[in-house]
Amino acid sequence: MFKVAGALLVIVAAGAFGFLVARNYARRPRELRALQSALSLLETEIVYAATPLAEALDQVARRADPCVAGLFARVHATLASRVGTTAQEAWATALDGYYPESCLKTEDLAVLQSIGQMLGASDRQDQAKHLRLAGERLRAQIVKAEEEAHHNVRLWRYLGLFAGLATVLILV
Amino acid sequence: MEITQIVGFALVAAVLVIILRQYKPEIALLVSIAAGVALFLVVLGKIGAVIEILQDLSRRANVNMVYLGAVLKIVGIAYIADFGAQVCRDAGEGALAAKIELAAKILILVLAIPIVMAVLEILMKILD
Amino acid sequence: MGANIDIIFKIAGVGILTAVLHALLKHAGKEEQAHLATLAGVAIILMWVIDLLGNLFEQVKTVFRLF
Repeated sequence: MFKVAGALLVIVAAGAFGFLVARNYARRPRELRALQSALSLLETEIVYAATPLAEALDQVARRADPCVAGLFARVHATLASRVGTTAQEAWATALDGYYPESCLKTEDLAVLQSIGQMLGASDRQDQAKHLRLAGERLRAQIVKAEEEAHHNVRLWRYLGLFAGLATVLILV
Repeated sequence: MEITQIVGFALVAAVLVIILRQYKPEIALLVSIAAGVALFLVVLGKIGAVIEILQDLSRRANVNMVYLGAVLKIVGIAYIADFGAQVCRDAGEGALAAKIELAAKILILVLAIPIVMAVLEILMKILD
Repeated sequence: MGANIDIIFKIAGVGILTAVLHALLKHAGKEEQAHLATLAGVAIILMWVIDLLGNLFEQVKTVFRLF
């Protein structure tokens, strides 16, 4: 009786671990895509509506996908509190806070960090160009992430389950 | 009925070996070794009983225990060597199997020498 | 007999699992890990089989007085 319960526990735990890892892989392309659309939102705000940066960030935070809205809300909060930070610093600190709770890789982080260097530092056209460039680079990352997800999601789902089964078989 | 158990066991093991051979031949070989060992172990107990009786008989007939011991050792070596040789042949290593058999023959010869000597001595006595 | 059939099933189960794992990892493009998984499976089973073999040789020794 205890043996069966323990075996079930081991299998369920290993399977759940596999599913968690698989979900991280599946979440990365989704987050990247949300980031891309949020950046294009920001670009529209800057180029066509010509809203001030803090306000534009607030708009984006409200309209973007919830999984990336936190990043923009954080930048907005830093800027709106008027503690005297530049937009670049606000963006960098917000990224530092956002990165650990996201499923992004360091390559994606580098793309995002490059945005901060020009944020609010030049005229509208220049910023729009940089944002578009970042969007392009994100698209390349999305293609890569999707390929990775395609391979790894299935692998990790089964891998967890089979690892649990193997452990049970060996320990019985 | 022990034989039905043994045959059923062997059939199950054979099916598993055939399934595994397509994917992992090395593990199939291990399964067949384990099955062979298991079957051997089942029968070994019975052989033990037979040997007890043999010893009893030889004691009653006043045969020297050294001879019976040598014979038993020879039978044991033959069993183990045969088992190893068959496993090797199963794995496709015919040459290795032949070497095992050769080694077993030599060891048996060494064990048999006292008996051969005894027979020769008796012959010499008769001839004298 | 019961314990013996148990170990046969166990070995076959691990064998099938390693086969599936090998196929899975190979499909995901992780050839090295696939071979490592196979090697681990073989090593684990080898330990069981060696245990069994040692048991067998011990028994044969006692039965045939091969000391």
